[in-house]
Amino acid sequence: MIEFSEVTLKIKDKTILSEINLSIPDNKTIGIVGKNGSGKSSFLKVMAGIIKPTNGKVKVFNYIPHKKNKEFLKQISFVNPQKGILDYSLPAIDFYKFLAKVYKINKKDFMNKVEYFGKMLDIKDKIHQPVRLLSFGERVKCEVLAKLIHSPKLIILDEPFIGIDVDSKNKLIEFLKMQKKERKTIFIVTHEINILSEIVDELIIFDKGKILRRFKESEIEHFKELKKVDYVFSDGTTKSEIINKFKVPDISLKNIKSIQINDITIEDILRELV
Amino acid sequence: MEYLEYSRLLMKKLKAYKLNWYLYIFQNIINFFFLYLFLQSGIGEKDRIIRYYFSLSFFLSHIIPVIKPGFFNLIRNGEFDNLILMPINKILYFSIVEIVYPLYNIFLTLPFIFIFSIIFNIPLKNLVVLLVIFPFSLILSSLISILFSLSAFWLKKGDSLSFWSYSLFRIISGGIIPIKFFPNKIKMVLEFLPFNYIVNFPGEAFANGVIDIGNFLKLLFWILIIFIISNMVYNYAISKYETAGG
Repeated sequence: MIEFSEVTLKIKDKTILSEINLSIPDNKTIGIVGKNGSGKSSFLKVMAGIIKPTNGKVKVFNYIPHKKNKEFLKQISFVNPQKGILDYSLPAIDFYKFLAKVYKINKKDFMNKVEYFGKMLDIKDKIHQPVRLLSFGERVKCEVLAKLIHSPKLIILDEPFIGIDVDSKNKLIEFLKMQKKERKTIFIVTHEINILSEIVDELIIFDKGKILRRFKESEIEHFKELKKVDYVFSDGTTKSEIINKFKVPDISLKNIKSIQINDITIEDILRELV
Repeated sequence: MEYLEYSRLLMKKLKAYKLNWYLYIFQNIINFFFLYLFLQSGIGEKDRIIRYYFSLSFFLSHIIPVIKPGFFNLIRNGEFDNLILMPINKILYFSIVEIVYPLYNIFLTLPFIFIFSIIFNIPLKNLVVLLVIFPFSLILSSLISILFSLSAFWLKKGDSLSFWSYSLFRIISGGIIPIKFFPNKIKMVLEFLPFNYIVNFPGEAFANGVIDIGNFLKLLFWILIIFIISNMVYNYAISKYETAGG
């Protein structure tokens, strides 16, 4: 169980998180979205214990995260590919061996995990090359493997899909689905609505350090049925609206120069809500 | 075991920087020759002074503590977040980095050390004395470097601080002239400080060929004290940590 009770975080008099109350049962996959600076990454860092909240109580699996109890640290993982842990001048496998010692994973288990995860993420050969020679997508997958090698119960992913190609993205999604099946608790920050609708059980929208809204799985599914219509009028003005994908855009409007129909994005939903 | 594994990892990484290290040795050899010529001009205790500077050139000048600018970058760009969540003692983890680099470099220097030991008639006993003390001085130095580098949690930039701290630590550890040549009152203070046990104590022990057991115990005492203080400072700093981004 993950519990936030009246959690506030202030950094240099700026309120980053404001009175967050939240209770999430184990084995759930939660999507977190919000505009830049809305407090979503800080929320995850408080949950992982990287930052101590200014006020309020946080409990993760009955541990107080910021106390950084060793047993707690062995149960969590914080994946942020933009700030990787791997050493660029060495092959990832060398760092995995170091992590195996840190987390006291026996050699056989370690080899099995590297083999299995390596195959799933399609990086079996890549982990033997120096990290600097890998593409960004391959590096992200190597980072994910490094962060999950100790089989954490709680996996926190901060924008893991940024800058990676479709193939790598699909491999990662499959990998996360597998983690979900293994009954891990997963928190994921991403703006990709298709990914969210595929894997999350609940979506939490952050705005100005507060939880603006929570969507259940069925509601997220509904997002997939929406389309965004952009109208451009002959006088240069524009108008956007979100409609059901089976509904026809309103062509009765006067002076329409063009109509563009796009898939809906998280930004569109945020714009509607905020 | 994890610390040994991390050492092996660093050793592997360092192979790429061999050339830089050989150039660095070359620079030290030139310094050493100038010093030799200077001493040949007739100053007392010639042999002991030569040995002191020999130990300084080949061993001790490379382990003078310094505030690490890299530590500031690690904290400022948020990469430190990764380390925070690893279930290991962070002071020991950083110590490994500080210890492995000079150890690896000195390993590369060994052929030169033996050649110059023969040229300058350095007795084997003196080399053994230095090799016994050196690892402990190295540990103390790495802990002091980390302790001062923890200032990165409070300060924004470390570059100039690094430069000035290195210059200061070099003087007060006996890295430019042995502490015995300082005025009496300053000498007493410097001999008490832990920096004495990084350069001056091993340098003098090497020059004389004898280990002063009292001073050796003080060296061990300082290792323990600095380790405890570093952990306390780290734990305090981490409770006030405000990470980048978010």
